[in-house]
Amino acid sequence: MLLLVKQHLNRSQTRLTSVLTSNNSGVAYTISKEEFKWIRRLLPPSIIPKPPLHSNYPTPSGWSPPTETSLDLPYFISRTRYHEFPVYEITKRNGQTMTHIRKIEGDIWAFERDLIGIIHPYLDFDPATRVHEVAGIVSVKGNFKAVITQYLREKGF
Amino acid sequence: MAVRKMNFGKIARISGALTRSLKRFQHGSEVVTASNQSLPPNLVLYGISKEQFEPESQQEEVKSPGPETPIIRKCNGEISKNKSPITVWVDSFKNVEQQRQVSAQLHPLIFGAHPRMDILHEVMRWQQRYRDVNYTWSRTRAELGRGKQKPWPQKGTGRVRQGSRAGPGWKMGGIAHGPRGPVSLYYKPADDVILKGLTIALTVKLVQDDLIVVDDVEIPEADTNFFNDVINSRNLSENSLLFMHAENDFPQNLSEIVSNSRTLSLMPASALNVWSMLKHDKLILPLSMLDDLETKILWHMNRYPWLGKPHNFYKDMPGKKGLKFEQEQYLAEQQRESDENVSQ
Repeated sequence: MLLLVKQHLNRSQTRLTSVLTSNNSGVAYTISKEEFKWIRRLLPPSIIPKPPLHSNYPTPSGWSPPTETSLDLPYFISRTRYHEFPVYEITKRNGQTMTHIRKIEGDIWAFERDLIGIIHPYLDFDPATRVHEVAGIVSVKGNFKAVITQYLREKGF
Repeated sequence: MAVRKMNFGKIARISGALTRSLKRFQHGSEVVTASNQSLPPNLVLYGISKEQFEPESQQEEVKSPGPETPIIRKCNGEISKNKSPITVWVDSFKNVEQQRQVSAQLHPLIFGAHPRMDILHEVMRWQQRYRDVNYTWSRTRAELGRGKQKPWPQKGTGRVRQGSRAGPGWKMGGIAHGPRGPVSLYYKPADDVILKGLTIALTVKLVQDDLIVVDDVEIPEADTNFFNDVINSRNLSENSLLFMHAENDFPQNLSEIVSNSRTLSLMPASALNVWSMLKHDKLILPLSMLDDLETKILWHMNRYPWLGKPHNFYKDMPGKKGLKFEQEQYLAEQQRESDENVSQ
């Protein structure tokens, strides 16, 4: 690939190893393959990068990596490809909110029981949950993303 | 290459025992016997009780490879902490008898995927239908070739005013808004779905004991008798077989035998697809293909979605041709950045 670098008068000519050319419009430019590395830095990567190592967790944004040790639970919830928890809150057209938890493997009914225990203190009534065993999704009525992600973080998923 | 007609009942039969079998593979090596396989709870038997029923498979015990078996191929990709690599036997077609000496590791994300039958069905239907064309076509009032003349005068007859006998309200008239073929029925599911379908199909093949990993699909000589001996000793003579080969590793001897058979197929790695896997009874993968397959599938599982043309996206996609220099540059840069991150 070629990069058209507009020539600036105060730029050192020695770094550009190409020929000075000009087109019909009269604007002078140089072609540099060497300088393209700076452009490449700006282009987004194809693969989702691994998160960098931090000195302490959680990071200022609230993110923390999954623990190294395996968990003593009958179910497992893996991270998404963006290293986030697969917890999503949606607003239905009638204004009701729902929270979906995806990527559940293992005993999904055990997770549902735990989930009811987590969000029960925040409600005056029994939480309305729905288990989609084939797709590995548990849905709950109401907006509980913060509570659920906090639970998952503490457990080390 | 023609093979047996596809068995749709097979897919329905998968779903019941599949989850149980998956657990068996995910929780390491375990002895699988005919008595160990519990009968499905919804099985209806007439005339005899469930205790009297004996499943057909009275074959000798098949042990999955244990920890003492030498592993000649290991997973390259990263494995989640709740999963462990799947070990399978590696057979060899150089011997007439079935080989059970060495094992290979398979990635649990690819060969131990969650068996979503709906996704498998969606991908299968897509491969069946995307090349279909709807040829149905009806004539409009302009294409009837009649009805140019006004049937009766506008005024004075007492009848409703009509300008043509070919209008859509007339008997034997033209069709308004009818089908106007040929119309292409092409569509494509999301890339994610197709990729999931591929991993689910591979998982299904493995769990149903329809996946055979061999050190090399090539046979020593293009001899039909030798090949038949190899197939018969493995009880595969009644099955349709799908042989896969790595891109730069074409099996010449095998191809000569496959070209004369109606139940055998040979495909390069890039042609691996859900439809062919389900169509054939057994899938035969060589070791040389596994690394490539694993790299490609894991790359696509972790890639960003396509954001548009000005980006240099997917330059480093495995298997992409014509961009070798760019790829090397790009990968070197990535490596350098990751090294810097680690050192920090």
